[in-house]
Order: sequence, then structure tokens, then C-alpha cells
Amino acid sequence: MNKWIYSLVAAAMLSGCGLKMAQKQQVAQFATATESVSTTAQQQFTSMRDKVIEMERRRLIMRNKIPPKTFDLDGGFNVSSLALRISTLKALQAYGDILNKLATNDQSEAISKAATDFMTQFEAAKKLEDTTYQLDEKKKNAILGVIDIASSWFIESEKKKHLKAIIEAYAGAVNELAGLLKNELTLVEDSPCIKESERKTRTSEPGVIDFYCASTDGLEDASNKVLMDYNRSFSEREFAYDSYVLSQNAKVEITTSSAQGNKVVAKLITANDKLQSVIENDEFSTEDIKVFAQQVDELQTQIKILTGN
Amino acid sequence: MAAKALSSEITENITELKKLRVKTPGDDSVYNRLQDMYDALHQAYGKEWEEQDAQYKEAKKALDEAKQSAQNAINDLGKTAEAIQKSAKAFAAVLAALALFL
Repeated sequence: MNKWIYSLVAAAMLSGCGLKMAQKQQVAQFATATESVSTTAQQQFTSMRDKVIEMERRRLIMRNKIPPKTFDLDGGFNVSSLALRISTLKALQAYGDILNKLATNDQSEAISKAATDFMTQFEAAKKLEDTTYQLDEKKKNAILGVIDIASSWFIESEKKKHLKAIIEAYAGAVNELAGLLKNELTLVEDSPCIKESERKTRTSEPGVIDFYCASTDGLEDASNKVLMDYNRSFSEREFAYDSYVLSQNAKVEITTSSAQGNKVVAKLITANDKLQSVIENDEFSTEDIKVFAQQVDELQTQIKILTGN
Repeated sequence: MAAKALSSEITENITELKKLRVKTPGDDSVYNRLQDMYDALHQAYGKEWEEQDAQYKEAKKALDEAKQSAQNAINDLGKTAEAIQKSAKAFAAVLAALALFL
């Protein structure tokens, strides 16, 4: 009987400093939303690149012109620039994964794997921006602390300690990576896809969506020209008609994505900032959790609008 | 004030050439120059970091002149041929500048 009571007391002591249920839930929901943004954007970027190449091919056919020697169908949106963008997303996805694992998984093997994966993806993303980038001690230690755990399961208080260390070391850098997404999902302020009267001086960098816009606008113009020319054959006009429809569908996609992309990134950064206080504050009230839950809810809603689900 | 990006100059040329094309619907050369500018924009995005390069500056200057010339042609269609010639020159200058990054 005494042994049983000791076990209960020991278990209570070990888990007492762990994450509360509401904290766990919120961390897991935030982490899932972060993973979802990253995987959705990866699919979108790859699909947009394919569409850019198809639209450029169509434009070239309708123009009936030999392109300059330096011309390539994917323009500045080549494989290496896509890889750079995907790398940023993979780092965000891995961040969501390690947070998720620490909040919901008890197996140290799964947690260690997620931690190693996150460190690798994060470092790779930063090195693509700056080849000399090195992880600082705080960032390294936050991950190594998780990897070095020898036991086969994680006790709650340990998990909380590591979660805090990781969020503390990486939250700022993760926000920077998320900020880069804004350029990819939002049109530059003077984009040809924005009405001339609504354009502004450019303050952002062109991203994936701008490549998509340039090809869409060019294709719309080229297909219009063929459609207005009554001397063209039926098959030429039919090809132009299909191209015109393609460009119009793309314009709708661009408008939706650009309007929502900025909001998704802003919500992601706000929720990530709040996450730190959710974890750090043991006296976190139900009201505070509710506020954070609302942030995550809004993030999830924006993701749904962005993905059209 | 920050310098305008090469792709911003190209976008402004596209805007003016579109207006000119509405006024000259049968003129294939305006259409061809407009499509050239889309090529230039497609190639320029993401390759704008060497702003101090001489060829880059030359391309921006040529684009500015082409834009002015297109604006003049919109107000006086008799100046269309000049606008087309300036636009072709600007396109060549952009390709030369971007070739440095290929």
C-alpha cells in the first residue's frame, strides 16, 4: 500500500510542473496550423511554377516568335529559387512538428527525431540565405537538450522545460522566416495585377505570386490579340480561348492568395509571439488561454480561406 | 528616396504600352513590344540585386526614356514609331543587364 502511495506521489511530482491540458491543446493546435501553412504553401509554390511554365509556353506559341537565346520558360522562377523558398517552408513545418511532438507525444525517439529534423531544416534554410550562418549556442543547446535524453519516454516536466527552451531560442528566427513568406504570397505594391489607380511605391520584394502574375497578365494580352483577329484559324482561336480562360482563372487565384497571404503570415507571427507566454506562465488563466485559442482559430480560418478548403 | 527597381520600371512600361495598344489596335509592332516587356518582367523578377552595375543603370535609363516616349505617343499617335523604337532599345538593354546574372 505504501509503495502504491509513493508511486502516486512521485508521479504527481513529476507531472505537476508539466504542461496543463489547455496549454497542451493550444500548443498542439498552433503547431498543426504552422505545419498546415507550410505544406499548403509548398504545394502552391510547386503548382504555381508549373502553371508559369505552361503559360509561358502558350504565350510563346501564340506570339509565333523565336525567343531570345537567354530566354527560359521559368524566368527568375527557376528550380534553385524554388528550392530556396521550399527550404524556408520546410523549416517552418519542422518547427510545427517538434512543438506538436513535445506537446502530444511521449516517446523520446519520436521527439528526438523531430528535434534533429527541425535543427537540420532550420540551419539549411538559414544557410541558403547566408552561407556563413552558424547556429548559436542557445539554439544548439535547446535542440541538443532534447536529443540527448537517454530514457525511452519523456516526463511532462522535462517536456515543458525543452519546449520553453526551443520556443525561447527560435521564436524570433521563426518569425523572420514566416515574414519571408509574405513576399511569396502577396503581390508587390506596384504589380501589373493591381489596378493602376491602386498601385503604390514598392516596399516589398517580388515573390512566387509575382512571377505568376507576370505570366498571367502577359498570357491574357497575347490570347486577347489572337481572339480579336478574325483571320486566325478555328484551332488557333480555340487555343487562344483556352489560354484566356487559364489566365482569368489564374487572376482569381492571385487576387485571393494575395489578399489572404498577408493575413496568414500576420496571424502566424502573432500566435507564435503569444505561444511563448502561454508556455512560460504557469499561472496562465483560462481567459489568457482563450485569447491564444482565438489567435490560433483566426490563423486556421485564414489558412482555410487561402487554401479554399 | 530608394531607387526604383528594374522590374518596377518595366511594369510602368507595360502600363503605358497597354494604353497605346488600345489606341492602335491594328498595330502589331505595339503588341510585339508589349509582349517583349512581359518577357523582360518575367526575367527581371528576382534578379535585381546588382543595382550599382553600369549596365543595370543603362537599362533603367532606357526604360525611363521608353516610358516617356510611349506617354507622348498616347497623346500624339504620330509619335508611335518613335515609342516602338525606344521600347525595342530598352528591351535590348534589359536583356543585356540581366544576362550578367544568368
